[in-house]
Amino acid sequence: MPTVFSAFPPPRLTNFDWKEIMRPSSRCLLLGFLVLIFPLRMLAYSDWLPVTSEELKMTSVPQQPGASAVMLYHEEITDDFKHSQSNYTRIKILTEAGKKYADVEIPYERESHNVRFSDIASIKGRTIHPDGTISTFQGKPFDRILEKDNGKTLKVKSFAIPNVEVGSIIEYRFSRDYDSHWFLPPYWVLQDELFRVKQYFCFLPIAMRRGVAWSFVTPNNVAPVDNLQGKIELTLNNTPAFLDEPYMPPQNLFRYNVRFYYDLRRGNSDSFWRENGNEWNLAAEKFMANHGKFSEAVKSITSLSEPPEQRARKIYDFVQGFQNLDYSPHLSDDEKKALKLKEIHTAEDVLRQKRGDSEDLTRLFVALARDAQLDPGLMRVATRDELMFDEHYLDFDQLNHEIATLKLPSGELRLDPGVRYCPFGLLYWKHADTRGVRQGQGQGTELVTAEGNTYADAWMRRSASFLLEQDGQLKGTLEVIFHGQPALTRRIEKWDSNEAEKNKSLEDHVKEWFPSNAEITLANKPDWESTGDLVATFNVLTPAASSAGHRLLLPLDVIQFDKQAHFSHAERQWPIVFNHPYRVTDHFQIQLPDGLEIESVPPPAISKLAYAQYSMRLANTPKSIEIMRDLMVGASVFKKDRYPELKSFFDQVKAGDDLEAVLKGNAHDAKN
Amino acid sequence: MTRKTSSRALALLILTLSCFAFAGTVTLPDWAQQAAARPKKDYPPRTHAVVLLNEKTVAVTGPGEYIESVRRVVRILSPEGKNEGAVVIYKSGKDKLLNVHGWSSSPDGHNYEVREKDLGQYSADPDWILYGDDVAHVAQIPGSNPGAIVAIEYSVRRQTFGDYAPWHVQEDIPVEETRFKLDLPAGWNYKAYWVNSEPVAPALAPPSEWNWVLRDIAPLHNAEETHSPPFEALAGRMNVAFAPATEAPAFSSWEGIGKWNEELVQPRRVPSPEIVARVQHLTAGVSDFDGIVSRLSEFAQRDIRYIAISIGLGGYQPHAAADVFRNRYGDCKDKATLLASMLQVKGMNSRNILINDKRGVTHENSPGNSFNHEILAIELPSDSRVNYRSVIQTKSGQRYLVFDPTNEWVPLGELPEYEQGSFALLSGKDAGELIRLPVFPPEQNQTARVGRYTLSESGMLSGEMLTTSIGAHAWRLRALVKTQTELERTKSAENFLAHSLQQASLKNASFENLDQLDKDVTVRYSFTASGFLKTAGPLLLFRPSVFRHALPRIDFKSRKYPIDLETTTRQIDDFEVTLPAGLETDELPGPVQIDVGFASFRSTVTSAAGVVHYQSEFVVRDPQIGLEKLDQFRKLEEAIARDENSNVVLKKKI
Repeated sequence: MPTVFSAFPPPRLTNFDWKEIMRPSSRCLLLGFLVLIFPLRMLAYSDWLPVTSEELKMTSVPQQPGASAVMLYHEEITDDFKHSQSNYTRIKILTEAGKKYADVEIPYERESHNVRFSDIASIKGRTIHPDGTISTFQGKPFDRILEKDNGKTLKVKSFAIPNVEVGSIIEYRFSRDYDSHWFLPPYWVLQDELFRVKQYFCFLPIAMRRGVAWSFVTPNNVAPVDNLQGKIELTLNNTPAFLDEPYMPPQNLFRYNVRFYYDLRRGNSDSFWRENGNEWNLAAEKFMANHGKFSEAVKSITSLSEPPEQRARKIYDFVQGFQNLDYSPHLSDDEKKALKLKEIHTAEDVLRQKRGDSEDLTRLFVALARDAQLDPGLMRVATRDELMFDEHYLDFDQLNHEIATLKLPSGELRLDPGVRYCPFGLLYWKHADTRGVRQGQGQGTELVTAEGNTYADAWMRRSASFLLEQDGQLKGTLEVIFHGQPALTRRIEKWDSNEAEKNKSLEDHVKEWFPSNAEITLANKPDWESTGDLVATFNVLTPAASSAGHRLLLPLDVIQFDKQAHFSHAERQWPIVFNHPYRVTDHFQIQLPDGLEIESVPPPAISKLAYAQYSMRLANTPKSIEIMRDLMVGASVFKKDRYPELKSFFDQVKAGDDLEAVLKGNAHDAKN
Repeated sequence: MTRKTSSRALALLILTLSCFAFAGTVTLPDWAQQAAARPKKDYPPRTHAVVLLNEKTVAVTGPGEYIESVRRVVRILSPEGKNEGAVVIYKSGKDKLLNVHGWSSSPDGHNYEVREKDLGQYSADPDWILYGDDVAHVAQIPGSNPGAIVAIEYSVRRQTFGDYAPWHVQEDIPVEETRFKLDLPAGWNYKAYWVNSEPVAPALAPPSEWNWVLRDIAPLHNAEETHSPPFEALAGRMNVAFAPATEAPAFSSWEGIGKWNEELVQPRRVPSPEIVARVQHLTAGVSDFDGIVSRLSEFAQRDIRYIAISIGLGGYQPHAAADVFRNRYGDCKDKATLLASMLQVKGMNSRNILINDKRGVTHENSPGNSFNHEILAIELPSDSRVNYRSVIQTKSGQRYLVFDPTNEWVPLGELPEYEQGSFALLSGKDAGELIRLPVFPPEQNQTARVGRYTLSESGMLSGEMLTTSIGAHAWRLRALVKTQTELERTKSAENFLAHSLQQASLKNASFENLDQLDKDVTVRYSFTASGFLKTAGPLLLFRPSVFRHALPRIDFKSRKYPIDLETTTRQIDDFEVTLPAGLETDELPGPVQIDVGFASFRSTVTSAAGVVHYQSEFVVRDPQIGLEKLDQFRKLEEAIARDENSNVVLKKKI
């Protein structure tokens, strides 16, 4: 297969730091928070705030035109002394669709392992009609079990505020009491689908010897206020609704919020990650401790006379050959007992039992590599799919996966031996381009970014040989090679399926590239169990050519890469994030039938950015066409201000894909 | 020292054995072992599990109560079949779980079991129910891996609100043997009706037990096929109704079920003084049928918000109209009953209608409680001046106007497309009556698109398109747009443009008549699209159809089930493209015309005075398309694709 760009730029074209696209996020720490008892100033009103004439008259909210409702007021007060939390919400109903906000459901955890956990009490609600008259909720809230299993009971309290019409103001309040054994530093969600006119939050933390800390993402970086009387307060006016967009980053650092936690460690962010990193490091080293069991294993795997990378690859393959419990059917305690499975506490246990979870296997790899006189290390990273690592949120649990590092003469590698099907040298995209703590020199650790993926690590190559039939259909075979990330992702998604299901999923995926009346049949047996390329071959019969008067047009995107441009919207609010950089190359050869020959082919279409390139080129004889398409996106994170050029780039890709060759001769009716 | 060590080791050994004892002593019950011992059959590779035995016993203990006992044996064949290793028991209201036991025999030689203490409890109510009392008791049996045999046995005392029981014989996995036992009190009688399955005769086990057995029932995999009828409409089942000897089973006839429902509904229709007052207020100055019904139906439709609270009999019986009116909320039967109550104030008669909102689930010749929705039939006087479309006529000749107050977007006189063509049961004091609701002709589910565009020398298309929608197209659009903010509407419009046009830029999208249900919904798009005029070699081309047609994507290969396109439809396009001054047409696409009976498509492209005129009409007359018409559907799809992809060829004026 020819490579269209003979001299592609270096794989990593840009290197955006996640920090560049983040909303400002800050953290405060109250030190010496010693006042133990505070008189809780109750709200100045008994039950409800006064209703203003402006609220009664309101028919729309200019900041969110067409909104079905607007949140006039929202309040949450958490009192960790009294182990209670109170909520108050007032909403103006602007359209029929907004009536749904009068159906209130409050989920809560009632029990946890026979301990009463929390309860919802003091539910009150009412409707204020546009004329100022009031209907009070007088019913009894419903209380039902959502889930009761494994010692936990989740319930939901629900009630419907009556007599709601367009123009009504509804309001409700309730309190949540939780068990005295618990302290619950709150998580304030400051932004949702409704525009919020005013919101007030207050937290009265229990006095801890080392105080309380918080991180926040707020409009204009407005910080919660420590009033030095035991209360931390935040008042916001005119908070916009949160807007979802395709290809947006994980929301936790973009949706306005405040997260509190009791900080048992005095110090700043740097010291937190350093101290916790050191603890993690000690535990990991204890797990990987060498009591003489590794040498024998290493000798059976490799030899010190082999080059370092060869040694590392063999150890990697050896470890990946063990049973990965994160990619195995879940075993109940009964099954573990019946199978006499023993607990795993050390890398030696992993070696002995030939099984372990992702973390166990990664640590075993590091332990064995050390024994093989390599220079490996561990790194604990934050998985990057639903959440994004927040350095200012001092919770070590954000780091939830371990990868290995390996220094070789050619440079340092990041490895993912704990991810089944992940080949040597590749990081699963969820663990790449994210932050984490890595083992440093000696006993120390450092907070660094786990880089690693390039477009060359996510490469799909498609090649086909087609015969154009008289009726305009293409018939032939298509080979698709998934290399790196796409192969890994497909294998991981279907690890718990049988081969027939895996093949069906692949066939369904490829069908999406063709018109619905195309016939696509998988013709080979893809190797689902290896870590190499995933190669699939398909028999194809698809409508392709269309008519233009007495000529036929043959589209160049015989396999549609995308049915529409990536970005259809003019405006963009958030940064753009793809899972990973990628490359797709296509090489299709099409033979024409008797009676048809090529009249013309379009000139090459080429588009370039600093971080992305695209080309569509053709070579032809009178009776055949060769289509060569190459699309490369060399970065995965883009600031919002890149949106116009990124949109323009993908528009040009679409325009290039839509080019057509002109055929002349005795054309029959094309099916397309 | 040695002895002490030995005794410690012995204690440890006993402890260890006791831990493992459960696994060693558990054995599958005889009935499960017998089922598992049958010769294995071959199944296609994507078969995840097979039911070796499914036995359901209904032992009737009296009116409104029976004990349901189930024995089930499954062989798991693939990882996807693991969910067949779960005990799942649904309960409603006052149902009582009497006993439960699950076993598995894993291919590694270990046996496991679960009992009642191992069950978790989960709400089984769908999300749209604010409160309900349906629960599921669930436990995964350990060892349910590929190759395992799983056996489940349980009994539930069921409290029912009608003397009937369904037997679902078909599943999404093969069933090698399924049995149904009906054990009636002495002197009781029964009637059984079959749906999607050849009837079989039961064997009588005196004095009053009847046994049905079916074998080798193929799985139903319709969920994998787009636009398939729902599972319930295709799956084999038997409805059995029973009663003491002196009575005919109420649930063995549509008449009986309709009467049963009427008895539930009638007491709830009593209008309160507040209802009377509101009716007088709403109908002030109006005396004719059409005016009164219009105002009262709008109140029930728009001012009563949908909230479902389903407790015990409340799953079938509406709340009192007075309560619904006071709270201004209720579910489908509450809304229908309140409207009936309000009409009653004005002396107008109506009948509640039971229906299933999935077309095809209710079968005319198989009476049973197959309903999940309630609407209203309003007695239509002969002097009504409005030409309503949703009109039915009973055997007695009485005409009714059918109205669904639950759907906020379908106006009086029309029906949501998912109810059109379905069988509906009119409740009645003396008897119910099953009637098929009308299917509206395509012209009443229509979208017309009229576009006037200008093509520039640079290849940019600019202009306006006005879409006008009625019927199903209109209410779906209303339901979507009325829940969106202006920003969301803009993004939806941009997505619509991007579906057909590359590099489209929306200037404006305005919507009209979203609240006036009796008027057509119009959307006016103003946009530009660069790159619309393409160059291919010596040719200058553009697609005169501009926008794609709304034909669903159908998987033709090895399709097993019919196609349900949901609604009749008519879509007409009328587009004019004014060419740039320096260009003229060289070649135009020929006309496309195909009529396959259940649907048709035609298009023409003409040119005059520098304007290219495209016209097309796509009609679906019958949305339910049998497998025998699959080839015709494919030809229709090909013709539409040919039209969408055909080009006008332009040349420079000399």
